[in-house]
Amino acid sequence: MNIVIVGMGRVGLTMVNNLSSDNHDIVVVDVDRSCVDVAVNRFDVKGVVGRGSEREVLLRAEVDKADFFIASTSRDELNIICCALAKKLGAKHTIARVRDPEYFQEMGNIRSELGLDLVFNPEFRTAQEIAQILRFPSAKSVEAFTNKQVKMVEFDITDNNPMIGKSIMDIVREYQCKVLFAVVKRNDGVFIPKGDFVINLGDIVHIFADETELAKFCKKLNIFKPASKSVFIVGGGKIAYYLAQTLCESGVKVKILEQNADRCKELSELLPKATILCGDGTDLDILKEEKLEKADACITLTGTDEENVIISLYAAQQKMAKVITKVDRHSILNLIGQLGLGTVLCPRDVIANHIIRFVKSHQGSLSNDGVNTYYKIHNSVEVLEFTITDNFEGLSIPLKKLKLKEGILIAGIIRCGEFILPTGDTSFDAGDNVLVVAAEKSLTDVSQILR
Amino acid sequence: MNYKVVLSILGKTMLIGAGLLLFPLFVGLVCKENLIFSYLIPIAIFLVMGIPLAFIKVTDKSIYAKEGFVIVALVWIILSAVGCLPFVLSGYIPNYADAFFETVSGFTTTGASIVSDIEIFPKGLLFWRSFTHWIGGMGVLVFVLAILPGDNVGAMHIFRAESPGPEVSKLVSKISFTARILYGIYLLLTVLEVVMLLCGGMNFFESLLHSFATAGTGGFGVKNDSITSYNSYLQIVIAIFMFLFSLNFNFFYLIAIGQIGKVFKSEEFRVYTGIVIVSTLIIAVNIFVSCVQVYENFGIALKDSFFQVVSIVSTTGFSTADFDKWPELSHSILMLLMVTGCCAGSTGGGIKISRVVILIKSAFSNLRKVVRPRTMVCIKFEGEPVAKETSKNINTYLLFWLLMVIASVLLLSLDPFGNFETNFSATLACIGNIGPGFDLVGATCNYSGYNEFSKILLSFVMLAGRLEIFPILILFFPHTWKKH
Repeated sequence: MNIVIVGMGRVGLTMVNNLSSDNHDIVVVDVDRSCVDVAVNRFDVKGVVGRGSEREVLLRAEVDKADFFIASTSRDELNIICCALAKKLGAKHTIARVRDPEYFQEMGNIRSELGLDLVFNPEFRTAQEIAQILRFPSAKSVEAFTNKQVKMVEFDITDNNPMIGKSIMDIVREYQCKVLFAVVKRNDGVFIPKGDFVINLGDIVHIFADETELAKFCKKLNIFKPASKSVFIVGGGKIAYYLAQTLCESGVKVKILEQNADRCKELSELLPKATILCGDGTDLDILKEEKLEKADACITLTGTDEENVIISLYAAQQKMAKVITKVDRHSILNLIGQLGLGTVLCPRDVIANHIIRFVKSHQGSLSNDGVNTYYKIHNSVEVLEFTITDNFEGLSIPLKKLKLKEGILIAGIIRCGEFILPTGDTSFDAGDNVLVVAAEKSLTDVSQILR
Repeated sequence: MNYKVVLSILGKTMLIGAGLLLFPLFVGLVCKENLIFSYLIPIAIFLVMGIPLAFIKVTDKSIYAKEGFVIVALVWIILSAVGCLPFVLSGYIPNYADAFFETVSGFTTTGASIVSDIEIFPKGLLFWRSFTHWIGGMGVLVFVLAILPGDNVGAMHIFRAESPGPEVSKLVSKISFTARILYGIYLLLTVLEVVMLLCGGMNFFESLLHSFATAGTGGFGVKNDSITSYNSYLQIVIAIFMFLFSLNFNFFYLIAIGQIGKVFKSEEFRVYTGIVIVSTLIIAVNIFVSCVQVYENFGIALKDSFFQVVSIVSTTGFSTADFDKWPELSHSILMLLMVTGCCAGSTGGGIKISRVVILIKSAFSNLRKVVRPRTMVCIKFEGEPVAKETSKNINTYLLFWLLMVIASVLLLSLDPFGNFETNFSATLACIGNIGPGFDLVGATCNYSGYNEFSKILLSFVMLAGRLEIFPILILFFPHTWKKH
């Protein structure tokens, strides 16, 4: 794939990092030479210095041959113009970052006129992700597939988790639940576990299951938390706005604590159902006064990573049901992993994943067996959803007879809207959606799972 | 410093070195020369050192600028140090320092020789001598990058350290593919030259060797009098190819993808062609007027002048006439051409036209600033503003280049062999990778008169010139070798 990325900010670099490991031909464009140099020195990409809105610059970046054109500069208008121009010059798919809420809302209507194939908004995406976790707060993170009923959830194995010391086979037998253990992260290693794999304290596990089965499983394990009914948000930025909007719609009580009085006024106009408070989130008195600990969930979304971490630490100390922390700097993610804060989100990872999902799902579209959904876990294992077509070689062969490649796990089959846990006797039918877990491979086509 | 990754790449390059030595071995076998062990021993040395290193398990594959420089410098030194053994073992150049000089001169595409009678050499050795030009011209590590599979994190640093020019850019986004395109163009032009020379009646072996020497802009021939004894057609073919190989290889890529217009718009191309044409005409008139007894008609003067100008400016160093006997004006022009060199991104040496142009432009803009302190001037090259970093790098490069020339001339004067003109032109010819200098190291003479210290010194000057100074200088910094 030829990919051109304009704008080498944090989001741009994260995308280059994720895409360049997949053997794509990438050209990066930025006005700032030093930003281009960083990308060229660190990754195997070509750099062009110049404004992405100039025809001549885009031609130098060979936009006419690009399969994907991604505009991710800090300015919405520039991104839209770049994409429109790139489309005119022959780019196949164009993707623009648009962050302004008003623009973003209107994009649905005028997207095709502007020649945009995808409009992404990091703040909106992050808010969606948080909302999804709040619907199932027992897990550290929740990802959905084409069928919204089927989820991939992440758990930290903490003290007094009854699974500790048991093998996966035993767990499944004991709790009688249709769940599949897909990936386990222990210390620095990432494993795709077999039946005799024993769960330890401190592991991070990813589990695939149906929503109802998941709830049952969590109840039996005594880690079930009901969906959050009241949410306390610290920091009233764009993410908070999008999140509050979604939550209010589904009837969740929302409190937003924001420092800036003008922004508070603005938010109170935009979100009539939410309670807007004006004050400093790091001031513990205010948090006590507003009864932070009584809310089901605390979400820290201020502009400073350190503040977010501190408020989250306080919230975790109050034994709050759910704490979600947003950090912008990647380096902090690893540092606070051990603090037991629960869910920590990095908007640019969220968005990079989103873009890669789009790229993946469109690259195989010619053969029609492309990727429907795509996730990357712990930066090494890929989770993909494919649709099986008539020309798949392994149709109606039981799984135990199918010759799969090393490091490939069939994590589930979705047939007629129902989640099926695969066993040795299960076979694929045309029209099935199959969930595949792959260790360090770049699959683009379902036939690549076969040896 | 990431020693493991440096050693691992070094090991892989040594295996390639062993592979390269198979070619002269094969030529030797075909010509039934009894020198098999002269090649097998260095091959064995490469393998014994290379195999354990190539299979070092590298956990941290990151290469930064420092590792890039060190890898490039060490690879070139090791290749020359082992690559000279065939000359020593076969007994044709028994002295190790002499053989090292000759091989470095080959790899750096200098073409300076210490051999007085090349015609008695066996074909295998002659092949190896010219083949080193071909390998060194485009670069060993560029070749390694072309065949190395997949994820080369930081490979750009290696590419940048080995490729000449103030700014190195990729042709396409993947570095391995860029390297393949470059080698593809290189190979194609070389084959083309071989065919053209064959058409002119030169035998296959000699056409091949001359093409190697032209392609790398090296200058090793197979005759004692270089190209003089060949006919005019062959001389003109070689001159044209010397010119082609001294152009930026990006031009050929642009032609290949159908954007020939961009080549003629290129500032570097225009300036370079201008310099070649003007110098050719001046020298032609100069030698025609002052050497009446040699040049009876202007055509021959023009041909000799064109050949010599291209040969010097492309830093090849072939000769069709004893230009040491030419008048002073022609001398001085050729000496200046030695300094400027050819286009960036070519196989030639010298300071490079693009650097000279940027330097002159920034000098004049500074001069304007002296007169009108408030003026803001933007220096542009190829229609693009020159980054501050680039022009600073060029200044630093030029300063070190000058220091290197001064140090080399001073150290050479310890040697009783040369006078000032000899030492100065020898230094320029070595740092610019040209080959022949003036006076005692002129077109008809060679470097054998220097003592061993001077030969090793000049070898390093050649390496510094080919790798654009920094990689070699960095080896002598203690800081480079610290682990932290």
